[in-house]
Amino acid sequence: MGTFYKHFAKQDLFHLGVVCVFLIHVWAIINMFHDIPAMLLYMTRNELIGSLAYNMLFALFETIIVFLILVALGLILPGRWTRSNFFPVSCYLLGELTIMIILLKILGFRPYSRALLGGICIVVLILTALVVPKYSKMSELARSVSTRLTPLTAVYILIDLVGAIIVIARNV
Amino acid sequence: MPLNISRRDFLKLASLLPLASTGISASNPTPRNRRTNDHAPNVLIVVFDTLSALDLSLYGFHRQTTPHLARFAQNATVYHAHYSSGNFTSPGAGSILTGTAPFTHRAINMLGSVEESFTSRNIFSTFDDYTRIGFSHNHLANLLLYQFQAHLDEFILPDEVAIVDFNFADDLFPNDYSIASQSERRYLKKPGETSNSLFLHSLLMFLKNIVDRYTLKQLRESFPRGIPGFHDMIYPLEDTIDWITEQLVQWPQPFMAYLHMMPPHDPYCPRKEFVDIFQDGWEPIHKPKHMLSNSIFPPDVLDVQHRYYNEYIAYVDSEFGRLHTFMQEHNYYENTIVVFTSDHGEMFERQIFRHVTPTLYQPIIRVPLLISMPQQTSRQDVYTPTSCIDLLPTLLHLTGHPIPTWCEGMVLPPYADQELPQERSIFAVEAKNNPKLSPLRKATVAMIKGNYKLIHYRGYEGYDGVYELYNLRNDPQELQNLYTTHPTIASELERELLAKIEEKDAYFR
Repeated sequence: MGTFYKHFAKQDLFHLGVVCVFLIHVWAIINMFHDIPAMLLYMTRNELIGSLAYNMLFALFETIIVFLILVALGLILPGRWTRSNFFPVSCYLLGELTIMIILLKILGFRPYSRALLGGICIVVLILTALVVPKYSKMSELARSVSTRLTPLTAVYILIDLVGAIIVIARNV
Repeated sequence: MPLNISRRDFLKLASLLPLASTGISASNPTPRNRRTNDHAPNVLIVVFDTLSALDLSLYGFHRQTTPHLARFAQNATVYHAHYSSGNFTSPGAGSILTGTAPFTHRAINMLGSVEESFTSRNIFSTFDDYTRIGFSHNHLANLLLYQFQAHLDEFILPDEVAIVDFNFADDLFPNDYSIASQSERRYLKKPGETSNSLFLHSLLMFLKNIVDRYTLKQLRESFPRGIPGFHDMIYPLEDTIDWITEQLVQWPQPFMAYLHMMPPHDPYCPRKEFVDIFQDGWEPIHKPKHMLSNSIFPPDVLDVQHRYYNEYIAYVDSEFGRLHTFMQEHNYYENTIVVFTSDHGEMFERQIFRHVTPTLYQPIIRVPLLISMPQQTSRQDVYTPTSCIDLLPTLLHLTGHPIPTWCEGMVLPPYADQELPQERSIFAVEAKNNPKLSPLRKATVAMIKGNYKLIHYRGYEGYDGVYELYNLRNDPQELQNLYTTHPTIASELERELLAKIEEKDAYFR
């Protein structure tokens, strides 16, 4: 535990969790609403509710996986660097990755464009890791955005938990 | 190219989804103690997905795609004008399994299911004195089998034969397979669309690429166009055929087994020895682009895909040949009714590619049907138009079961006590985008009667209320729309078709 807290400040882990929940859930919910008209064609009300419950449960699962991967990465890096830079760097990296992935999904790039985008992505990620620690204002901005998102993410988590209860009820 | 078990086990472990092995299988491995009908023949229904009759040499196609099926046909009844009742799995398989047309059973939507009452009115509920087995590679067929599982002794999911399986909902949520697996697909794997997952989808794709590139290297050499599989599973047909031969010995008799294999559904991935066997330069008749065409591919690209499809059929045929040989050698034809058919066809014309289309042309609804009776020693040919809804009453008749009143099909010749009516109408329905339990407002309905086929389109933007009429005898390619030039026959058929739709819609008003 001592090693763990050598790498991370509790507050930073909380803020990172908020960012993960927000990004993953916003995308999942937008797409879920996109699916609803097609689902209404053939699903009963209970089936629709069940399907949405699974969607939220999977979003929660994805959030946990992404959060754990980032924490694992943080544990690999030197403790002193991680403690001061882990949250802002992770936060910007997540944001950039989100934009890249959404672009890939929406625009459906061909393989050569994908390679190009992948190359750009790597350059941007490296630049982020180098630039963000140098400007404290970027860290402050990330923290303030995360703080403002907290109430919304609490609602998302609440919906996830309701989803989990529905899924459990459907499976017992 | 049989694969040994140890490699399969190894590859299953290598699939990097340990979750998949932690859950409980949806199958019920212990058949109930039936055997009240010990002398009855077994029934084996073999369905190959997406198999158009027009591409089989058995039915006169010039490429030798089905020499092994021809071997099977020597001791079977071959139906030359057999129709599926839909253009994709849900309506097609739904009709085979319920003996009713899609506008009755209502498995009309993508990922659709049959209307609630059919969960206890289906082929499995009628063979209640048999050991009943349902297996499919196809997720859409599995959604139907799941609905019928109260009447199944074994509902076997495709992970049984998959060497790589990236699905987990079936293992984690076996009591809610239908909704859980649909949700999983929607969240992680929407084909050709944006998945609901932001990062997990990419992670999954990454893992799949690794598995595909490294652990399946040897298999990739045998399958240069890709290893057969679908729905995030990889399952060479060889393994499935081997598995069936193992199961045949174990299933308590009499059994009624519905086995639905995905090939030759796209992607077309034949084994090495079938790749490029049909490079004959053949060009089919290039038909004008249809108003509801779904493809941007020019005709020459479709011709290449058509060839790949034919080569894949030849591979599927060779594997079916292996099953046929096994059954011959082990005397299964002594006491088994074997049915060979498909749920729908495939299309490479009018700039329509594959089968996800609002149209119902012949390549997409004309499917093979062969029935081999126990100890049958000669071939019979039936040219009367028949429908996949006829299969259930025919099998019930052949096994001495009563035919329930809800069944809409008729007993097929030559097994029927009476001949099929000359002027019988056969229907096929496409209504993916119509609400399941509502009248048909956005749909295509085809009616085949005698030599004529009337196709009615309703609810499509720019193609609403359109009719096409073809004389299949004089114009099997469906090139000349006779709707305006033959008003008498057109209006007569139109009246009947609309009356049928009206009759069926009345239940859902």
